[in-house]
Amino acid sequence: MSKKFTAVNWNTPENDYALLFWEQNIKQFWIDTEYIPSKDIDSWKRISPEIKEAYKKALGGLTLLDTLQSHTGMPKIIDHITCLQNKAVLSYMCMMEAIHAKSYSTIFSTVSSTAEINEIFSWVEENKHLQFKAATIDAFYRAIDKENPTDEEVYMAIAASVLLESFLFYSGFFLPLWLCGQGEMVASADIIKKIIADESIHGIFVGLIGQDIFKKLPNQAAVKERVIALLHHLYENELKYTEEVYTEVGLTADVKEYVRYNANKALMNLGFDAIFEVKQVNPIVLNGLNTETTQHDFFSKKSTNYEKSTEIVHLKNEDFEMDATVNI
Amino acid sequence: MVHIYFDSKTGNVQRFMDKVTQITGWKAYKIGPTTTAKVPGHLVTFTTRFGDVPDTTREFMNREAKQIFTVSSSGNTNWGRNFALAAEKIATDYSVPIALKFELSGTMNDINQFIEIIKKNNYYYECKHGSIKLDIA
Repeated sequence: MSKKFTAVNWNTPENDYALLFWEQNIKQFWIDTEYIPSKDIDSWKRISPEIKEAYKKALGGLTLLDTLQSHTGMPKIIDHITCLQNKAVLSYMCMMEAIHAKSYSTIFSTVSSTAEINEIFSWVEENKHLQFKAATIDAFYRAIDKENPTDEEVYMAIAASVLLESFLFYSGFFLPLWLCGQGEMVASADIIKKIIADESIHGIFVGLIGQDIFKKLPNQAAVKERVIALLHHLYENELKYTEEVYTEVGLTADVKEYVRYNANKALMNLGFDAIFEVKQVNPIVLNGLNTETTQHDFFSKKSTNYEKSTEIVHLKNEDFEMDATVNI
Repeated sequence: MVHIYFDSKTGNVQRFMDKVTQITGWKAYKIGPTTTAKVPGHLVTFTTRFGDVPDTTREFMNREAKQIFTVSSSGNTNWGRNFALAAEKIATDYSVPIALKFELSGTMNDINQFIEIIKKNNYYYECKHGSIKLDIA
């Protein structure tokens, strides 16, 4: 008897959360071209060359992580998830990761020349800390690139994925949020905040699937220790990466605190306790997350900001000069 | 004795409550479609969709709001102003004061803070609610 293929049947829930996450993902849908980072051109001219440099590197690093996640992480994990509805949600998330990866280029294209952009992408390829992040996570994805991986192998790939999405992104997210919190680069930050909202639900969902598999493992204590060891391994690298990107702009200590804060949240998504003592997240960053922009599309109710307009005319001071002679 | 009614979907509030009850010995009841609050107590819930109150929590509050002393909500600061907004919506809709907003399953600091706040205020609420008779004579 040959293999029987099963069709996904959404009329019978396979668990109590797949449909909830499917619907939430759909509501969060967005594409990069609906945003207008070119509004940030004036802001970009104002900020210092050091911050510009760090900003480009931060976005370059984020691009690499989203590329890895959409091209390898999600597809490999989908292959070994048995619940068809969960697979469907993961494939949707995989598609969003591709939109995330592209959206950084949309920001780059408005603030940098082609030569500068190419330089950043070469920097990504050459930077040993970034390459270390990608290689470390990729190894867990590649380990399940076979017919019958063990539950532990699948679980570790899922845990690596949660660490990438809920922890490793944040050294990069820090700068756009910090700038937005003080009114700079706010249009680009709208895109970044959409990505953060997506990564937040990805972390919870993939974490939930991970917790289901974890419950079946016979050697839970040992596997949990592997996850914590992996987190520390990546954390040491994050500290070095942070120093490299942020020392020039004097934000290293704040970024490191933000990295620890998010490492705790990644652990919680996996159902574990926080391990780092975190005192205070930089309030400007929290302000960046809280900032509501003026971009609204009143016809669709999505997240905090959304804009889909075809014709936009920016108001200028001259528009209010009412000095024309009117003949009556 | 402190009684807590809690709602949980992804396990975060469940884990928060597990720790609270482990430390304090308080009674915690997970909210289901028919849960009633026979004894008055506190509510701990989560925030869903875009800063919304979960339907299960809302249905419970529609039945039992008068038995609830305080509300706390789990959330995620990544949602900006929507962070743990369920607590504020419940506070407004059912006139229940907010005890705490915390992230995901809460850090040890959050758990200790929650216990302190509830401890400090539970007696006051029980008196106000009439479930403890004040000896005024």
